[in-house]
Amino acid sequence: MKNVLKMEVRRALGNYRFFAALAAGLFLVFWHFIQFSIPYMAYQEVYSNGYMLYPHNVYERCMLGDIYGLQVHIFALCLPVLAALPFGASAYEDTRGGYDQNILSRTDRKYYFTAKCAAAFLSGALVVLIPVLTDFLLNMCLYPTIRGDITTGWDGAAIGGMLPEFYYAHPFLYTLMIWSFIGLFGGIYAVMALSVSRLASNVFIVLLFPALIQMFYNFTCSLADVPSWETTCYFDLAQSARYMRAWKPLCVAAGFLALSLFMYGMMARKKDVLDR
Amino acid sequence: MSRRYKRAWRSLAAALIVLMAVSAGRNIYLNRRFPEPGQVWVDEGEALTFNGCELTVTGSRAFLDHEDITAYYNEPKWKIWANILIENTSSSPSSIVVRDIRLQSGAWCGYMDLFGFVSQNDHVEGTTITLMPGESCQVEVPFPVYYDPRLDEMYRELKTGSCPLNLVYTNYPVKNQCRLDYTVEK
Repeated sequence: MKNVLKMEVRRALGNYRFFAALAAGLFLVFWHFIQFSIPYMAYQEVYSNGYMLYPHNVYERCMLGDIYGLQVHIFALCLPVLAALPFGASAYEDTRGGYDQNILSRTDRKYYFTAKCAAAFLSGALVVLIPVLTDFLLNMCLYPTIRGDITTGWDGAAIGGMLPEFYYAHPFLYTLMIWSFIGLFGGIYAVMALSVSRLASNVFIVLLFPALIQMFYNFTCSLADVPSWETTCYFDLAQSARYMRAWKPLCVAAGFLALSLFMYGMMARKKDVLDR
Repeated sequence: MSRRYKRAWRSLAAALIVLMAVSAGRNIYLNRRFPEPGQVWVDEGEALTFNGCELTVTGSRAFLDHEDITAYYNEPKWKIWANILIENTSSSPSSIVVRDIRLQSGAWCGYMDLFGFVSQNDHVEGTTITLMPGESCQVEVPFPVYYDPRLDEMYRELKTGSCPLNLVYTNYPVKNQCRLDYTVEK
């Protein structure tokens, strides 16, 4: 199992698609940094009526905190594609290329599929977390890590949203929580792409499947007027959607994960390579 | 993993480590330059010193304003009035910008109602109050709380008078706050 896992992780993290997805995520980060973070430095240390205005902080100026910027919304929309890109289509390609026949003759079927699932989850989580971490570090070079102040109106977190008091008391822990949501959903979307490998006839369908599911799910939530259940709301620091609660992202993630694992299990259950 | 990708990973890790070191160094400097604000808390009746003036909240009340229903907010709104005594205790003229005073309750923040302030305080010419040494001025500042589904719990607490409210006048790096001991008028 250990060897298969090691091999699958190496395949997941060492392919051109992983670096292409990473480059796309980093592009958004640098775009936001150049368009918003650097020019906003002019609003630091501003005096009004003889006293200094409260300084801007890294939590509201980073890409995830700046909900008025375009980049965080593009990131939230593209997250399923970015996550699925590195290793989401591997099961499809293994089947098409006959790689799985070779590997299954050498190791247990269960180990192979478990290792593939774990590697896909890891690659999906990493490919979305590295740009987010880079963004935070870049903004730390320009803005202090002091706590936000609700009276300034600069931080998006407010009453009715998800744990706003926690955000103003412990912003870094709050940021870690949002990062964990992003990593979790990234991993789940990668597994979701894996799970449709046997059903799809084209690699693009496999890679776009998580994005289509997210789009359909969010569209349904939007029609039902329950914005706090939309997945794209979970990837920013403002969390200003009405009736947003911390357990909601976890519920949605658990539902998506259960669905993905069920479909993946059904796909992996096929006993013979001639069954496909 | 091929050698090419190993090299790419090493470069990525090295870049992240360098970025971490640079941002940690810069951030230590920035956090010294912009420290966490000091918190000054007083209760009603106690004075806050700011810009050579002393601000004392002499009383506050809250009531559900059924009459003030506008086209934009078709729900009744709460209005919180705070009586503030401003005294210039310094030896030079000093001014206070009343509109910079905020009303805060947890993760909610309210701004002054300008029209209400102007109509209630005929003796002042604007929201910037300039006082000569030894001069004082009493103003009544209204803060509306418009209905929003997010504020359901706050509305319930306001009815019973258990909603914690405080006035905030931030003079970075000091955040001056006064707890309001308001009475709810029926």
